[in-house]
Amino acid sequence: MKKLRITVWVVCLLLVSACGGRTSTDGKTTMIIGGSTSIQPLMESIAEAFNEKADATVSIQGGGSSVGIKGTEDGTFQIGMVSRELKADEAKQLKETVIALDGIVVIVNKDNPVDSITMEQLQQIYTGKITNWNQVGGLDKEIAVVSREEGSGTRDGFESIVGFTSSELIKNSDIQNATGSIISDVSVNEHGIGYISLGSLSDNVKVLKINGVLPSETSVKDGSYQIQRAFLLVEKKGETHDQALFDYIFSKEGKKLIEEHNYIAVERK
Amino acid sequence: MNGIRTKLRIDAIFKTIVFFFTIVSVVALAAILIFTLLKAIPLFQEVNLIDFITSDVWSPSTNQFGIASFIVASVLTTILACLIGIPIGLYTAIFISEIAPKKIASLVLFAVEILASIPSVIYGFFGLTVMVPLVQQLFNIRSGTTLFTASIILALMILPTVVSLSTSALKAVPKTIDEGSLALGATKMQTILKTKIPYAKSGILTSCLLGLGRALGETMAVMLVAGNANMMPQLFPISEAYLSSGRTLTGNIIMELAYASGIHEAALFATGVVLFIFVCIINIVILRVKKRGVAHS
Repeated sequence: MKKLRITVWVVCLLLVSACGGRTSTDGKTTMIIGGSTSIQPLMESIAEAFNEKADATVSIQGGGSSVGIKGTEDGTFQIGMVSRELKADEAKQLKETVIALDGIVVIVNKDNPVDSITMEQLQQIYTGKITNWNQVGGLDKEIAVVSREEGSGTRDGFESIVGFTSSELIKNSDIQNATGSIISDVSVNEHGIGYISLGSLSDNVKVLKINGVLPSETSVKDGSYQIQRAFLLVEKKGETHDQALFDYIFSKEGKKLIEEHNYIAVERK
Repeated sequence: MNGIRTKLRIDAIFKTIVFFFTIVSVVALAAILIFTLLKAIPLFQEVNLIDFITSDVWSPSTNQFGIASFIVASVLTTILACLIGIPIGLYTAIFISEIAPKKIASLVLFAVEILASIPSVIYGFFGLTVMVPLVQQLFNIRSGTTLFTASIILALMILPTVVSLSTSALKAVPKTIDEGSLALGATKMQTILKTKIPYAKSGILTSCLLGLGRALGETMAVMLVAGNANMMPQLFPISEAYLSSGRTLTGNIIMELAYASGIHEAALFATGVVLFIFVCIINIVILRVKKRGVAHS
């Protein structure tokens, strides 16, 4: 009994010490930003650098784009991170600022003779309607689909742009939870097809043209390459926050951070 | 007089220190258990345990959480890994303890111990770059990331456990047993197979069960080579199951934990709870086997 009591006490102490509260600071920029897990790592680096530079306390939370939108609308977050387009009713309430662009490239094995596929073919490959490379002009080889895990922002973006849902993804698709694993999976398998962020591309694999367009910084920026998404920061309309953070994001330093995360920096609009 | 009192005091202090450190390890276990259970609770407010274990639909985006297919994949890989790894390990142990000259025996043992200290991510990387293409070409399938590949890697990984523990179990058999058997006219092989192994049975069985536990709990290497497809393996014919991509319980946790939040995260912790139950069952069996071994001798 005594031992049990000691155990309970120690566990309680551990729990209490793990829940240290956040202290508020006066006279500084204090902000909670939340939403898309795709943008989260980028915004965490930006917040870290910004906090140090401007002596501010900006904290970043995840949850996903929808959580970001809801949180911004109800005031939980001052700024929401969204990695998809705003729906019409959402756009009525929120003001969006594009901070970066991300292209998603489709990769195959270097020995695969296929160079280009259409968006529709890509959708059919990932939903299991096309299962052999010879159906898209390649060799008579079964297609081995590789995808990211549920919850990954890249997967989320890929699925919504290409046009299918997670439950429609071909069942026997390999799932890898890192860009590196997808690249090595595809680089050793002639049957393979996968997708990764444009900035993480390596020489071990071959990039497919989509609808005839090769992904590049230019083709993403001018919109001709279709599998791309914008990273948005949203604010409630009519509410103006400290613009110092935005100024920082679009400054040289901010752009450098965006490029370090392998995304494409844009000009402020 | 004074000397004795000091000695007694040191004794008491030492006892306290021992007790304290014991408490630390027990508390660590309790803390992990409580934390995992607490984190899993939100799931069970929406899904009941039976559905969670028996449903094979895992779709976090539509809030459907069933881990049946992951349980099946874990069981399949663990069984095949043991079927391959245990005989190899056992025969290696016999070679080391009975047959090999001392120098060679210590060399083999050294090699096996090195095998034990290789980080699992290296096994995984070896699997991904060497075994996966090999399996693909061998069976002419669309992808070499299969449960079979994972089982092979796991078999390698459980070897050290099986070899070293079985070796010590065999070495612990008293000389008199050997001599008695040989004196009765049995050959060396007969002595090993019919008297020594039965005598060391509980130790050998324990080594196999520990190997089994290791195979069930291994994460990184398996995740890299198993393919992690979110689907129920097709059990008939069984070769179909092994030659397709699959996801184990451990793989599921590590695969999705990074971005999971809310009930999805709870479901991953609940996967951990199920894994914990499996490990407990194995450990209880090990305790039973050990007890029977003690009673036997």
